[in-house]
Amino acid sequence: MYDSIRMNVLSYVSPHLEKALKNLNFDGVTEIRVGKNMPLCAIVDSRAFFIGKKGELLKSYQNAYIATEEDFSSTLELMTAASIYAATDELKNGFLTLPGGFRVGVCGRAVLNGKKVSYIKEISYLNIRIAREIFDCAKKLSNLILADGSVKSTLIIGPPGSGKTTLIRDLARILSDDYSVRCAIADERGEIAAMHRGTAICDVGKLTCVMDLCPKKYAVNMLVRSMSPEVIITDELGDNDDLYTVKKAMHCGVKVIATIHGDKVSDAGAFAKKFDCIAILSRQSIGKIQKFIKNGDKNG
Amino acid sequence: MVKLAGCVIIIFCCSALGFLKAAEFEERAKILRRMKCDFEFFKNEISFMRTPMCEILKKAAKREGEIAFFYNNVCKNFENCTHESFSKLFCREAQMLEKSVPLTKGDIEILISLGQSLGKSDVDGQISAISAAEAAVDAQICEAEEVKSKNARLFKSLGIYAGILITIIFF
Repeated sequence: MYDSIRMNVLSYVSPHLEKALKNLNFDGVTEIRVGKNMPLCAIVDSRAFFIGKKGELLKSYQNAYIATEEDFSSTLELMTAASIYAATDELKNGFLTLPGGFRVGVCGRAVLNGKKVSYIKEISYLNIRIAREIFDCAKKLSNLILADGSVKSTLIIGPPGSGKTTLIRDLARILSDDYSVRCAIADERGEIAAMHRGTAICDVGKLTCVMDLCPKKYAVNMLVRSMSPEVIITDELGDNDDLYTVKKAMHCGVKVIATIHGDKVSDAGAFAKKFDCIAILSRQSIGKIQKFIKNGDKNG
Repeated sequence: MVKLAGCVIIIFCCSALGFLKAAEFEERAKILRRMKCDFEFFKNEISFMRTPMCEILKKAAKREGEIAFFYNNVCKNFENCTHESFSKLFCREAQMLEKSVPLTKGDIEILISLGQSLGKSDVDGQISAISAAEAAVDAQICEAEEVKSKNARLFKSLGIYAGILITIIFF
């Protein structure tokens, strides 16, 4: 794990940040937050700590390392391989993806083109999320959605940081390797499989194919047409296009397993009615199912 | 006999110097034309493929132009995690070009100002920056052609005549 962080995160931050972070104990760290001219911060087991110059965790920001403007521009350059234009599609959605599936949330000033965000400039905040593979964390969920012998379309609802992506990644692996289900992943943000030069860095199963960094509405369509999957797995449903995409895939006889932000069934809006099962996650631990509801029992 | 051989050698050497100097003018125009082609290649790679800068430079280096080594050095240094910014590396390597290829300060200046904006904006920004550099290279190519037609013949003749003059004076 530490090797992966060293290779995929520490080599993409400025030398000063690298120096501060290389002594940090990454056990339980889920996020590293870097703000321009702000103290360096880590989220450890859902609690925020500041990081000192030597990587020590501090409760107060007074002795924390302050990320300078130079740190920031150097980090951003390393993260985008000195090619902002190549990352604009990701940036306008508010994130960057590092090799290894580490996602970096980005905050700054949005540039609008009509009603859509076309770019984020003057980036002032980075949130490096430490991607983790937790094997068998989806074992319980796989048993629930395969209770009748066939896979059920399932919507996973969870707040940010509840492990939705980690869960569906492991679910893809279990369905593919243990049940020989042909899975396809529409990985719009590149963090489920963490593809790097055509190879999935994370284990998503031997029968799983991945359409990487492609908008869901195109990816699902292409996967249904060309890869004849039994199950399509995708992350973070949101708008009407996604709803239409899910409906279309289900009408083609493909089961869909997807995630959505929220903490109760009503947060999923119209999506909730489309799925056979709904699993609600809690923040308490990665992939912990708080409630599992089958179709027809949605008040559950 | 020795005198004759000496005369021939002196005339040959002076002429060769003249021809070499003339060739430099030709080489400069050739490099500038190549640079323009490379910039066009950058534009295509950025607008259609969104290829990262280092990959573009690697591909440009494989095209084996006169400044292929320059592209190679920039991406090699950047990949070696020197933690120096891409634009600084690009500009530093561009400044060193003056020692190895017959480009003028003005030509190098185009590369330096391009290096300061490469990779730092969205596709439209990159295309405009490269187009501006292309326009500047066009102007330099015209100037290089003019200088070449004016000076290349002059230096060739000068070399031969200087050789003859030295021969007459000393022998």
